[in-house]
Amino acid sequence: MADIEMKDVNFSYQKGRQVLYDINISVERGKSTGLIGANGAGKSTLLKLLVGLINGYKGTIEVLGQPVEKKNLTDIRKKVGYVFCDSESQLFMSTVYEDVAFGVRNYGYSEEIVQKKVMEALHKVNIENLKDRQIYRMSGGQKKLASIATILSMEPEIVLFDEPTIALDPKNRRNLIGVLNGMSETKIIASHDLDMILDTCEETILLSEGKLICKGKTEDILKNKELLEEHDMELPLCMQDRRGK
Amino acid sequence: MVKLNRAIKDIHITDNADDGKKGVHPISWLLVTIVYIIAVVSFSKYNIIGLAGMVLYILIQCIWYEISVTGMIKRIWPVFLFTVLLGIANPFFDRTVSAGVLSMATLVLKGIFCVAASYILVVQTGIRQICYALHIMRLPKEIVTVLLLMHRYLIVLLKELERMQLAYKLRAPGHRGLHFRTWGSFVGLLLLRSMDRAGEVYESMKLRGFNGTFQMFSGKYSHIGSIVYLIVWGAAILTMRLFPIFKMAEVAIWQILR
Ligand SMILES: Nc1ncnc2c1ncn2[C@@H]1O[C@H](COP(=O)(O)OP(=O)(O)OP(=O)(O)O)[C@@H](O)[C@H]1O
Ligand SMILES: [Mg+2]
Repeated sequence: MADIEMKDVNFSYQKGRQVLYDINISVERGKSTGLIGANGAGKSTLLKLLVGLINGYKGTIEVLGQPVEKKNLTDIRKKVGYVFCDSESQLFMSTVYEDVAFGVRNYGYSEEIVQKKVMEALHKVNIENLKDRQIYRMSGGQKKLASIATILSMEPEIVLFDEPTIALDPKNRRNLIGVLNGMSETKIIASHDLDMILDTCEETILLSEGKLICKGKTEDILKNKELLEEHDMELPLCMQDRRGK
Repeated sequence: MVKLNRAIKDIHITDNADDGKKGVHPISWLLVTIVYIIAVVSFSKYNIIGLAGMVLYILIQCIWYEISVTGMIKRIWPVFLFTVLLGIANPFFDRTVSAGVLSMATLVLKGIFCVAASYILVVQTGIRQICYALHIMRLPKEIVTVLLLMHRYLIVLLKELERMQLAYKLRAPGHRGLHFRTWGSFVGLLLLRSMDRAGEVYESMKLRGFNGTFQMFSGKYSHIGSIVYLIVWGAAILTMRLFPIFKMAEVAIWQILR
């Protein structure tokens, strides 16, 4: 059974301006799926629908076998992590530890278990040393890793990433790719960083102006120059190089 | 710019991470502070000598917990101005001018002491701990949560303000402050942006299981320490309230000198 199942999903924020058209997607357990498309294609919208941050869609969306409806949201959100594009929105407590612990505490674990889970999450993204750091004193890359830790500490089954590599320097970006590849959870990664998608995702979904253009093996899609250019995107840098030679 | 930056830092100090490091339960802190404030306010308006003795609490706290006195004065001096303004008419309307000056001085001192005590409380315990204490004291959950959220929103607002101000400055070099023509759109945009941002923060909280109440975590406190703290300070404040410490010290010194 698929972890994420969207059938004939249509969505609009305002009447008359449709953002998503007849989306059909299913994501298998443990798979990493890239979500690509030009600005405004509807990537963030699609991710937000999956955790019920926006509602009023038509069609059916099922996450871990449960339809995304108000009554299931608590349950779904327990199992689905969402890493915001902007870490500033994700992190709101004073220190890294406090922020990572926030979610775990909300589910009523004892303080020892909270501590254990927090430390595990920090370990996964290699920032144990930043544990007591005040968040407003951290760099963008550190904040991004911390915000991923806030999600991992809740041990989700699915993690959704909205442009995780944005504003990361090459080293932090590589570090993040390592972290992503080390995760066994089901993942959807929305990004313009096609090279990263190539390194982390087996499958890729291409959206354009709210329509699902194609879905398939990442390599096949990202190698297809005509397809990408038709939808306002360019080949991943690594492939451009190869052609130049 | 610099000021804004400091404001942001200051706010972060108020949610410092020393949760429970001091070992004293925040409720003890809160109660002692409340007792102190009540004691300060209860002095009559001419009893300046007795009131002056209350400074001991502030001094001892500052020394004991290494709170920077200059930092504190910098942050509470507006209160000084404010209370002076409030009391400025006293010398003219009181029984005599000197009585008026006296009552004005008491008023100013009372204001400063109360704010200094609250400052010490916030710096030492942090907003979260205070809210935790309020929560234990049966303040409705909603109020405590709103307090915490307001605190969050303030940070969001200040950060957004900082960003916008930077963007403005970079494109308007040489201007001092904001040109008045841009005030309207600046403020409007600030509100919209910070609301958007606050909305996202709230979404992120919801996604992590936030269901309307902050999960109050109590640090590791020493129960005995907390009780001792409460009793010792309670007694000390009572003593300061009942006996004019400074006057007694003066008398004692004279007797020794003789
Ligand atoms: N809150 C909103 N209200 C109204 N329209 C919105 C809102 N958020 C997004 N849209 C519109 O929905 C469409 C898809 O936006 P979305 O943010 O999902 O795109 P995206 O693929 O994530 O783009 P980007 O790569 O720039 O992040 C855009 O046309 C956008 O203008
Ligand atoms: Mg987006």
